[in-house]
Amino acid sequence: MKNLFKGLLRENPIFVLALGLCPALAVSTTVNNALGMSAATIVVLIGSNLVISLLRKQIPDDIHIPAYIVIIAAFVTLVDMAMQAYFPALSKSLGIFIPLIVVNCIILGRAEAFARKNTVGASVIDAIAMGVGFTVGLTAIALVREVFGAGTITIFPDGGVIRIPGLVDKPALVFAFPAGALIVMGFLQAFFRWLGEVTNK
Amino acid sequence: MKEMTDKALRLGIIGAFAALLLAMVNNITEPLIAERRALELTEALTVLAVNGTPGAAEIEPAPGVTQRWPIKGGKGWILELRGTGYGGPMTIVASYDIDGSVMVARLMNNNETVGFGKKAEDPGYMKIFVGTGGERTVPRTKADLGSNADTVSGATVTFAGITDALRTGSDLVKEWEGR
Repeated sequence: MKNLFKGLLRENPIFVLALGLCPALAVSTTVNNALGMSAATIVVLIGSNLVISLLRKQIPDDIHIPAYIVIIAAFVTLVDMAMQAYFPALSKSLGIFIPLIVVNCIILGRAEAFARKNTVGASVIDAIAMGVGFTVGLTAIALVREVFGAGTITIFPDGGVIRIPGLVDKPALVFAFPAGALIVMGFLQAFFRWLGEVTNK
Repeated sequence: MKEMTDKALRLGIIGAFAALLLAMVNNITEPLIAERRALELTEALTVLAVNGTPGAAEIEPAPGVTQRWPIKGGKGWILELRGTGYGGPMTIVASYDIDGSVMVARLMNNNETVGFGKKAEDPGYMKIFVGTGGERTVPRTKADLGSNADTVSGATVTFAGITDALRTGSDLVKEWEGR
């Protein structure tokens, strides 16, 4: 159980391990994009950790990187195809960042650091923990950026948009741009690290 | 040599399983994706035809144009154009009056960057091209857009890809209509 929650604070992939920062900056413009990206990443993380852990004794060290990339790319392509077929609006909205999950450091990082050395069960729990941590981190960044940068909170693009009076007419546009993403991430990183230290004491 | 063959074989088996899995999933999702794209195109054509209806499609009528439809009950053409953006190939559909001016345009399939080039999918984006191509030329640069330059800000490559495709379409319509 302790391992299941490690991704939230102690080993949060975005704020503590500093993994997966590219999508964290790129798709965190709206909350629904962040949730969609997180769901896709969790599916790929669970699938790749499971298969890599299952095959860990069959994959020699010399070829482990190409083998992992093939496994990860297969899961990413699978998620991409499923998203295009069943969630076309989300697929359009996330665009190229779904195929780019292949090179997301969280996936290969957890395969290298955890799945190749641990059992299938532990690897799946690690994937869920990291996926939940990624979701919390990405959604936190997106929430701050969307609230201040657009004055809205988008849960569903069609009809699920909360408009915040006062901000929706005069948003601070810097939050919608990459510079705003870096500023928000810096503050949230400091906050999460502080929270981690306080809860560890 | 034996060790090398063993490693190659293991990698090959992993790749083969991955390909098999993807082929099975593709078999399920591909018809759904094709159906959705066809529906999107039909919806777009209805809007593009303005006061008419799209006629029979003609495939590859000219370089850079994948399909064209005459507008029945109205006048002009609807073209499906190829463009190149920041994320690679883009599909643009646009209707033209007989003088080559853009009536309605839409960005369809693309891999543009979220928050930047992707905003070309917003209905308001393409309005900057409406009415250009006839007496007024299709804008070539951001400077040609005047007060609308902010609309395309941050996505110059996407804008260039769209404007090049729309200009090609406009020139072809003028040629077909003998203007």
